[in-house]
Amino acid sequence: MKRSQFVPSISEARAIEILDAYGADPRKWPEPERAPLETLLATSPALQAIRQRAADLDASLDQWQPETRLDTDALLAALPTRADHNDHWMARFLDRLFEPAFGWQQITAAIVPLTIGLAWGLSTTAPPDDWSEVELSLLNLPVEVLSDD
Amino acid sequence: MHDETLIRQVSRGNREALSTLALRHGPALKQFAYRLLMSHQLAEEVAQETLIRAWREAARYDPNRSRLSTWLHQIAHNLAVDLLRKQRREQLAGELSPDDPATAVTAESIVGDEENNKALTDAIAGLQERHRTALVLTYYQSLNNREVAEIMGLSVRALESLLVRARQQLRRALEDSP
Repeated sequence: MKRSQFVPSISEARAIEILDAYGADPRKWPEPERAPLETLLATSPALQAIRQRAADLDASLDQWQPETRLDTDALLAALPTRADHNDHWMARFLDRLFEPAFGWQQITAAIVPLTIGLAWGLSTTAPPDDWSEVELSLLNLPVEVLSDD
Repeated sequence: MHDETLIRQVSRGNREALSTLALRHGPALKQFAYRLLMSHQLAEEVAQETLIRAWREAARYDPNRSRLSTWLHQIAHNLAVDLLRKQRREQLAGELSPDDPATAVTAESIVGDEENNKALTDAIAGLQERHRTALVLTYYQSLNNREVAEIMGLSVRALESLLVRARQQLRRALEDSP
C-alpha cells in the first residue's frame, strides 16, 4: 500500500515573507517550510512572480564573490604559543596525565606485579576454620594467654 | 577529523589542531569579515583574532549548543561589529584620515576586482550594520536562520524582518543606480 505523504500547508502571506527574506533559492529557506512553499508556489502565478523578483536580486548578490585569500602562513605565525593557552584546569590535568614524562611506565611496572601477587594470594589461600588460631599467629601471642587455667 | 575532535584538541593546547582549524575555517571567517568591513586588511585581522580567541577559549565551546562554525562566526561577528562601531565613532569625531584602513567600509574603498560590482557593493555598503550582517550571514555564509539569529542575539522573526528590509533597500538602490 502506498503511504500518502503529508505536506503541511503554508499561508500565502508567510510564503511572501520567506521569499522576501531568504530569496528564491529553496536551500536558503527554513527547512520545515521548504516543501509546503514549493507546493504552494506550483499553484500560484502571483507567488511565482514574487519568486522571480527575488531571483533577480539573488543573481546580483551572487556576483559579489570577493577574492579573499587568507594568508595562512602569517596567520599561523601570529597564533599564540602554548604558554598563552588559557585552557580549563581539567584539560591541563589530562594533558599532564598523559605526558610521557609523567612516569606511567614506572607506575605500571610497580602496579602490575603487585596486582598479580594479590590475585594469586587471594585465589590460592583457603579461609581458616578457626579464626582464633589466625589471630594468635598474627598477634604472635603465646597460647597460655587464651587459656583460663 | 571532525570539528568537535579538533576543538577538543585545541582546548588541550595542540597547535597542529589549531592549524587545521585555521585552514578549515579561516577563509570563510575572512570572507565574512570582508563582506562586513569591506577591507582586506581589517578582514585579515578579524580572522586572525577570531582564531586566536578560539585558541584561548576553546574549553568554553559547547558542542551541544552550536556548531563550531557558528561559534567562530559569533566571535568574528563581535569583533567586526566592534570595529564598525569604533570606526563610526571616529568618523563622527572627524579623527580619521581617508587613508586610514578603518575608513575602508565606505563604498569608495571598493576597488580592483570588484569594480564591476560597484553598484551592488555600494548598495550593500549603504545598508545599516545589522541589515548587512543579517544578509551576509544568511545569504553568503551557509548558516541557517536559527544559527544567524543566535549569532546576532535575535529571534528568528526579528532576523526575518531585518532580511526583508535589507533586501528591499538593496533592490531599491540597484534600481536607482545608473
